[in-house]
Amino acid sequence: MLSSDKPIASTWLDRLRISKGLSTTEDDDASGNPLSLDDFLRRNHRTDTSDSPPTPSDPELTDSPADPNPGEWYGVMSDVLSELFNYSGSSSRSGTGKKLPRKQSNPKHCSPPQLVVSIFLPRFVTEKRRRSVEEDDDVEEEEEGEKDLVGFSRSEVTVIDTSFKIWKSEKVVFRRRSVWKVRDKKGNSRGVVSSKTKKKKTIKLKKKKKKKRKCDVDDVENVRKSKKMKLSRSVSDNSPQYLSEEIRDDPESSNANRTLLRRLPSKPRSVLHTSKKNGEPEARGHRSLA
Amino acid sequence: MGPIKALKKRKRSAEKKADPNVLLAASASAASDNNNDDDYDNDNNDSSQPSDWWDGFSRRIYGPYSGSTDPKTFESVFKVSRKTFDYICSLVKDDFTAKPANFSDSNGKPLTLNDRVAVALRRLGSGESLSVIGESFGMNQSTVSQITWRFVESMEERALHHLSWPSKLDDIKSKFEKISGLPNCCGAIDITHVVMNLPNVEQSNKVWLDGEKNFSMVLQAVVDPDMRFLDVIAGWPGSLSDDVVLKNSGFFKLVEKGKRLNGGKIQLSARTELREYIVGDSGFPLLPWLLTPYQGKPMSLPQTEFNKRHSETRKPAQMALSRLKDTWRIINGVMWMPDRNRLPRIIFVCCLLHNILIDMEDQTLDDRLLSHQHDVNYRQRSCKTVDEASSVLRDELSNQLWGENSSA
Repeated sequence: MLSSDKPIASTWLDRLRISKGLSTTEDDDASGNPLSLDDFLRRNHRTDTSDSPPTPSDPELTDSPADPNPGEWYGVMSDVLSELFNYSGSSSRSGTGKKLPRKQSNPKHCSPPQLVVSIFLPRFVTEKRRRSVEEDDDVEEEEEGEKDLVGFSRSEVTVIDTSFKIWKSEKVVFRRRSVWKVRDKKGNSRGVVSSKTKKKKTIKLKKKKKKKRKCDVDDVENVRKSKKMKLSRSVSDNSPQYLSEEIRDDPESSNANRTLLRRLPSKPRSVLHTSKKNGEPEARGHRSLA
Repeated sequence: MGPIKALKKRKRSAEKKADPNVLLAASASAASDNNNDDDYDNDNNDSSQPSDWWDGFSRRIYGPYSGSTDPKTFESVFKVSRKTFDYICSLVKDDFTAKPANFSDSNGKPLTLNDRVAVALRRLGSGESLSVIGESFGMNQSTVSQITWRFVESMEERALHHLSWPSKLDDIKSKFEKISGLPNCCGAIDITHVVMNLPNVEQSNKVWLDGEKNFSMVLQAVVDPDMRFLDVIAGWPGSLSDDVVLKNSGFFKLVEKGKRLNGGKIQLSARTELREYIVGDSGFPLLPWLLTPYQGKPMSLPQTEFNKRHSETRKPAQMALSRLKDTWRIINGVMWMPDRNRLPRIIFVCCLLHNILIDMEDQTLDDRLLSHQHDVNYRQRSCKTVDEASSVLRDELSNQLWGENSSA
């Protein structure tokens, strides 16, 4: 009968303890105290910390701020950052050279990496979202503003007209056979207007984006255009038939006043020019002109 | 012959009419620029550098003009006299020196202000490709492109005062009347096409296809009797008719609002007054302020006489556009796939340069070989829009002119 073997290593646990050199519950440690399984694990871990990182299954170590080795959490954070920014350095910052596992063994404690992601990742995610929203907005805006122009071909042109206060403007030509309609372009295709459904949601985002765009060196040309168009729009009546630019109040004021009018805004513009020149985007893709 | 006589007369009195401020600025800037260039050359420890910029530059260029220090060669290469060249340098100097761009030639030698202006003027004046200019001036073609574009950007700001609607029109009216007797005329309007080569397969390019099946961009200009541009509009696609371009111009709106061509009127008869107006060909609508010629046949003698005088009065506009294209050849011929957002600005700067040459009384101006044909192979369009009151006014004017003619 098996029952006769029960007192001596009768259970699988006892057999396991024995195989690991651990006494059964009756055994004492060197100090005379009974050595529990927890005690054994703790002691075993302390001896191994110099060689391997702590396992996340040990809540004490993960929660301890005084831990000299940040351990796996740092590695996970570094991994996330390295993935985000695509740099080659990975989480193997520790001098051990041993690669940390990429996957957490205990997902319950994922809050610190999530916090990191919430700091860094959303900039990209929300930026994408903003752009897509605004592109949608533009389409909707055009559909709203150009409902009467169904069937017309649409072309955007840059026009120089010395009679206007702002002599350079962007127009949209709609054409169907021999019928032309000319309208002012309502500014840059991005971030100018919003649709009725998404207007409220995106206003703040657009304001932020406008600020950002002004700092964007590569996009200085667009900034300048939008700035110009902003001036143009500020005097616009959005008349469908005739363009909306305000005509000089005193057309006969001739050269002096005219020059003054144009010189005044030219100061900041020249600053933008230099920035643009610095960026040198103009020469690219421009084969036959200039 | 009216306008040509008037122009020759104008040339004879060149010194009297030259804007003293412009000339003063030009001479002062020329002196300072030469000093600056000398300083620059000294700074670069180039002891072999000649004192005059052109002497050195002509030795550096390749081709038929190489080494020739003759002023005529200079004018052939750059389409301007040395005096005008120095004035243009002074205009763009601040922009070109505010932020040095480290432009250099193939040997790594930095390009001076004069070098860069020379490159840009050659590009605009000759219409040669970037590579040809790059080779002849010993620099990369991208350098030619960048320098030219910077020049355009600078000029459209700095030289703007050379193209504006005049505050006083008396002198202009008087000159127009001397041409062929049309009183109270303030300008001649005309349109020309800058032809481009665009991909035919792209549907979006159809809008640029004009009535002659060319891809083109429109330039509309109002011109004074001296062939100065008073008002320009550039950039509209070639498919737009002349009257559509006019009606979408700022000039049209200003006049319709009574803010332009609103000066003194002439009493034609007891009940008819002739306001200030401009003249245009039959492609434009007949309006109270825009007189066009009679169309159709047969015509009465007064109508024929009116058309003859009208045609003479329009010639300055035709000649101005012809000279513009002939001098600044980048907009002549067929442009290969141009950037259609940049082209209007280049056209505009060519117009500014055209006016600068006139304002500077430049000796390179030669009207003898000027043609009236600026749109070769373009047929005359006709606009059917006729304002009834304007038609009556035109009849009265033609009758009066016929009466004066027959009584004389």
